[in-house]
Amino acid sequence: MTSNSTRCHRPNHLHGKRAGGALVLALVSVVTVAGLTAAFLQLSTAVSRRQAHMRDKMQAFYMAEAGLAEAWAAVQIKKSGNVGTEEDPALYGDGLFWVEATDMGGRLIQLESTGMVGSATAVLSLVVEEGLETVADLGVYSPTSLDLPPGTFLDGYDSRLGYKDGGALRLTSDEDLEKLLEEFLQQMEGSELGGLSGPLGASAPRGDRGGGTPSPPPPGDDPLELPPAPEPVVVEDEFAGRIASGGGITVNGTVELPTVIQGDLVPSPQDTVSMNGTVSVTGSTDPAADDVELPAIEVPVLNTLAACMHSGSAPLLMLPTEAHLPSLEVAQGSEVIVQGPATLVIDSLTLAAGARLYLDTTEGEVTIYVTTAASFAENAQVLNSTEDPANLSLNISAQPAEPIGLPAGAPIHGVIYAPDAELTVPPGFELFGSLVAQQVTFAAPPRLHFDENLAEVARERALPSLFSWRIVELENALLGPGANDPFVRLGVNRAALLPPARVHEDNPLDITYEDNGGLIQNYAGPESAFDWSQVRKPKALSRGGEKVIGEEDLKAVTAPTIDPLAKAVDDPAKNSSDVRDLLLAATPISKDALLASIHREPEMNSSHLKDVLEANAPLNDQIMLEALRNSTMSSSDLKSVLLTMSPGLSAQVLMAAAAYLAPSDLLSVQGAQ
Amino acid sequence: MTAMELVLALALLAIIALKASMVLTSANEAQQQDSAIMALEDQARRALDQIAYAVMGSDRDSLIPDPESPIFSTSLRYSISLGVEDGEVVWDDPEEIGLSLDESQVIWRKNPGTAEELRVAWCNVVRPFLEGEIPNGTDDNGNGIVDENGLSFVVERDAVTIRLSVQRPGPQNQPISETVSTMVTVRN
Repeated sequence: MTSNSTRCHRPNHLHGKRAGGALVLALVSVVTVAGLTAAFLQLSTAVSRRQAHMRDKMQAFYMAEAGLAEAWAAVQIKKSGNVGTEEDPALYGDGLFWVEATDMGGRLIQLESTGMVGSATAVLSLVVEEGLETVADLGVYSPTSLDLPPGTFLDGYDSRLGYKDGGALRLTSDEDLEKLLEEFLQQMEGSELGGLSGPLGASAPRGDRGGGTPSPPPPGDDPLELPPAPEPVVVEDEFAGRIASGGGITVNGTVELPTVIQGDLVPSPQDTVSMNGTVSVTGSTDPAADDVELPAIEVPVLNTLAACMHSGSAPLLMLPTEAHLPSLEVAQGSEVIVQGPATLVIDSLTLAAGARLYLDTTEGEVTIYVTTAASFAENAQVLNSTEDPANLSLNISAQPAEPIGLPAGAPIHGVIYAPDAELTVPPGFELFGSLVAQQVTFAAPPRLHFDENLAEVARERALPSLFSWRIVELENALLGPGANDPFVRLGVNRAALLPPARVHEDNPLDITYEDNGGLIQNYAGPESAFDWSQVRKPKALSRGGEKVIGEEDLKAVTAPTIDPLAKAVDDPAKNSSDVRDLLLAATPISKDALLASIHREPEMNSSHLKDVLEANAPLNDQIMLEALRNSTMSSSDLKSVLLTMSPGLSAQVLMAAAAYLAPSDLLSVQGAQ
Repeated sequence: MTAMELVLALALLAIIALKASMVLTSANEAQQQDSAIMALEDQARRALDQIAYAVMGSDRDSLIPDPESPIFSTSLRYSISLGVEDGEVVWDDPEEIGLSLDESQVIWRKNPGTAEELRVAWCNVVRPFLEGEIPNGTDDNGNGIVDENGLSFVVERDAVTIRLSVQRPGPQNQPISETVSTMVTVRN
């Protein structure tokens, strides 16, 4: 038997053929899977593309909004609002934008911002209304010289905090006051002095803003009973009044009628302040940096109602309205109540003797324009229900031949503006707010209280406000070159584009400033050529002839300068003794330096701090309270400081001392009052 | 190849083919499910964006109704700004976005209730109630709103919160839902 017989023989007809369907099956499977995959990819790609377009559209929308924000900020500082151009847009993140500004007249500016990201383009339009220049922050101002009679009183306050006679006051928080009172009561109950009667007992009312005077206690037998607490005053405030003039200011005072000016007197740049007799001025008398231009009164055009003449005992109520009255006459002893919000244009306004014009500003401001004539009896009253001067403005655009006498029957809380009229201030006149007139004549010494909140309100109203906003366009690009790349679509070189802050339209700049060397410099020219790094502090700034900031703004917003001595106190390289020597050598030192020494880390030695405080006596209540709270000061050292300033410690300090002094030391201090 | 071998080979091939087809089928179903979810979300987002852009440019004082949480509204009438002319804002004709009568569609209408009314359906598959919410008088989904519909508006000062839930049958006939929401500020 040969090996061939063991071989497996293929049938002859199968020789040379490769039979089998596996390859076909495999091919079919692969094709099927490939087809399914392609379909899935196509679907998911379509969905992804659509989602990408939606994302691009949203991002383009926000890019355009960023452009509007950039332009808005520019308009606020009196720039034109143009930011970049279509040929030279601003580069921002992954996209770009540019803004075109158009002056529409009537204080309206249209800002059209185009933002492009990926395949999307968004165009948004914003119309802003330029802010109103107000005069409320001028205080008492006249373009002509002012002559203040003897007995004139001027101070400042903040209507948000309230006004207290004798000067503007600021209170501690109610929590601080309550805590002090509780600690004091606990200490007194556990001490030899026993319980308390009178206003310091448990039934004593808490102080709160603008009120809360404790009633005086009944006479007690305890000789160590503390005196009745006055108004809960903690911190002497620094609000200041302001009288300014386009000419000189003459201030007169006598021994019988001293003039007190708790604030600034600001003559024109070419004039000065003259003081005769007994005059006290706490603020500055430096002339203004620039002359003030009084804006014209824009009297609104309103629907005309019938002339109104009211007499009789029942008051006439005018509901919130905007109307034009040919005349409003309030007869003797009668009352007209105007509910705000209201705008009244009155051609002729007359308040007879004893007449009352009550302006209810609870729900909104009342603005009155007097266009032809104004007549106020001396004892007529103009009252503001909220006593917030920002809620009442009396604008006299009339140009009478005779001076207009202001009503003095009651204090006026408001802003009086008469740029073309002469106003006479009668006896007994008291104003909370602001008074600006072409000429102001004081027939008698006035009491004037400038509301610093008006300056804040004036700054807010000077800012532009939104008038209209809309979406102009929000689209995705069609297929084509640069469909997904805004830089290609616009034909700009991304690397050459600048960030938004550097593509604002160039503006003519006029600035007076203090340079880094302390010298006063002036510059007038294109802003692009000005080096801002050399400006240490701007004094006055305008763009395109429009004032951006003036001196009165700087006074309010300039950050307080830190006393270098206060910084030196915090030097950790100095020990307590070195700091004491430094401060004693510089005595008297500022409040900032005193506070820095009290709060120093590491803390000063108790006796060293005592030496510094005693050397700078008398100290105000704020400093004393901080010293009392200082944890390292010993009771005896605190006693020593308090005795240095006795008698005359305030009840607040005495109450606080009770929480920190040993009983024997407290007795010594109280005994010295 | 003997018959036995052939049968065996065919059986193995059948098993492999069956497994392969099962895998393909599962993958296909999953892909269809995902695609359906993606498409539904895409549809919901587009409708929400359309509503949001429309509301953004409207006048706050023109919004009707003015529902505060937990009160909501299924429709919102508004007017958008067309720009400024002669110092005055020009407002477009009133528009309204709300649900259709059967509450399954988001309908945008211009000049609603007038002879010049224009209607466009922005979304066709709105759920009767917001996802997670059932009509039982309580806030089931914890969003501060009670029994809100598939489309709801809540206005708080200048902000409008828009919620939209959509639902459609999936590839395997089980319902798939998607909920989107946004808060926009009325600019005018």
